[in-house]
Amino acid sequence: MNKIKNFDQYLILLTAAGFAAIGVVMGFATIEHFSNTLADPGWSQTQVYLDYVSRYDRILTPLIMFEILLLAICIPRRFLQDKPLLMISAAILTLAAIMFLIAGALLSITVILIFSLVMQIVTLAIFYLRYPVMRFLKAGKTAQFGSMIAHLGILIFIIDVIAIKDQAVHLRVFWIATFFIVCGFILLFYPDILKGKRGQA
Amino acid sequence: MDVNSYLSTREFVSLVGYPLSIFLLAVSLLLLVAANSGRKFRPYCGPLFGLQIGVIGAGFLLIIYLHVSIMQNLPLVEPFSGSVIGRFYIPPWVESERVLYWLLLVSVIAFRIFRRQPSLTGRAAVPVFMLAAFMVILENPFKDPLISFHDGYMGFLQAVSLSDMAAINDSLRSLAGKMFGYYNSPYMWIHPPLLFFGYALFTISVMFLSYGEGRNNKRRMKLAYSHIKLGFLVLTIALLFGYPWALTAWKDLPWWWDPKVNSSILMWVLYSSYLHTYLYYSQGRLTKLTYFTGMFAFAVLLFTFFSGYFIPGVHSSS
Repeated sequence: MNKIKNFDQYLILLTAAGFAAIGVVMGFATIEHFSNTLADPGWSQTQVYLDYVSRYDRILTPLIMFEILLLAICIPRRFLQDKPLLMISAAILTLAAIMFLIAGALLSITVILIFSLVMQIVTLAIFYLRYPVMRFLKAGKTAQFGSMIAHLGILIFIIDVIAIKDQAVHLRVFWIATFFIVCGFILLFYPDILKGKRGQA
Repeated sequence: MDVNSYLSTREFVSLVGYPLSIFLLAVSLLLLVAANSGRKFRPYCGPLFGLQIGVIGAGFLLIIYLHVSIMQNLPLVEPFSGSVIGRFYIPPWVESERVLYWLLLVSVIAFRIFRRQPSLTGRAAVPVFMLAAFMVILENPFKDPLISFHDGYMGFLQAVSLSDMAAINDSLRSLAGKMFGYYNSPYMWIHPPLLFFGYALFTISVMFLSYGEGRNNKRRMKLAYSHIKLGFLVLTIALLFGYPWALTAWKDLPWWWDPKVNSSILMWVLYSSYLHTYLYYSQGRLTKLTYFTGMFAFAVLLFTFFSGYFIPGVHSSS
């Protein structure tokens, strides 16, 4: 059980590290935006702006992929033991690397996202059937359910923004993702809300 | 259209509101002193909080009075046909009014802390005073009420009086764009108020974090967590509702990778990191990381807010 706890902790630390890296990219983008505006106030109407957007999209993509991969690993850890968990994590990483080399970032992210989405739905189904060996960091079935729903919503949101941003159905999917994210966070943070009591930390 | 009526209302609001804001600052200072002077003066905090919130409420009544006057007396009229394009329904948290709104929320949350945990009122009163000082000295909504809107509308009227076709077209297009994409947008009633509610919760939380992450401060860290938790939920909803608004209001503008968008996402990411690492805080692990992430996230919040003044972008006032 201690090994699992350490694995969980490493996943949390890696998640935080990924977020920190995303934060650094945001910081650099802000500095560059400011610097470009000082040099030429009308730069956002030029090709320089389009190059800036495209470059930072490319820089951010692997970091988003990294976070999605961690999410994909976090999901099976809810119901797998050490060795199978490490094996499936390695399989996910290998799949992602192969897809990236063969088909590029967009398709590999999309495949990993869809894989994560399927895993999350399977996890929800198992939760619903009360599979006994699922592990969560936060006790309470409502909080557990909320966590799964929130992460499902985040996955749908990322799929929506990356893969179907230019399609007519984009905003509808966005609102579905928003619904899941908001409901998920409410249940995660205030699990007693369904009982009409004050939520507990 | 009755511009004179609007101008008189604006002058009245400024005349009454400005001394009211100075009084508010004095009350905030008294509150800060009373809250930090030990048990002897702590009972005075209750009435002072009541007075503080009451004065802010009076300030908002003045602001609403001005906004109603704008709605009634300053329609947007097409100057050649005389047809009314629309009326301005401006919420009471635009331009410098948002700081008063932020102050109101921080005051209410601090009052709640006073009622439940009186010993912590001292720190909770600090952001109340600092925000009041910032508002009165630098972002006073009563000193020159709604200056950006006022200048825009008056510029339009001036262009019409001078029959300057180019200026008329420019100002009409700008005002109409702001009317439908900004002032009258339903998102205006969701995105900004929720954002500042989140800011208020994070502002109070940092006061608890400032005690440090040590073992003796577990209760305060838990209080910080409970405020950050709600703040994060509210911030997430606010940011999510900002996205479809940006798609419609800024569809032809370069808002992606805008500095404020970047720093808002950074802030969200940092608070998300805090919530993840806090899962281990209660087990005595990742304590320093949790603490520093929370503190740094608030620093980014301040940067996000102030960047609008110094860093140009679609979101900024600079």
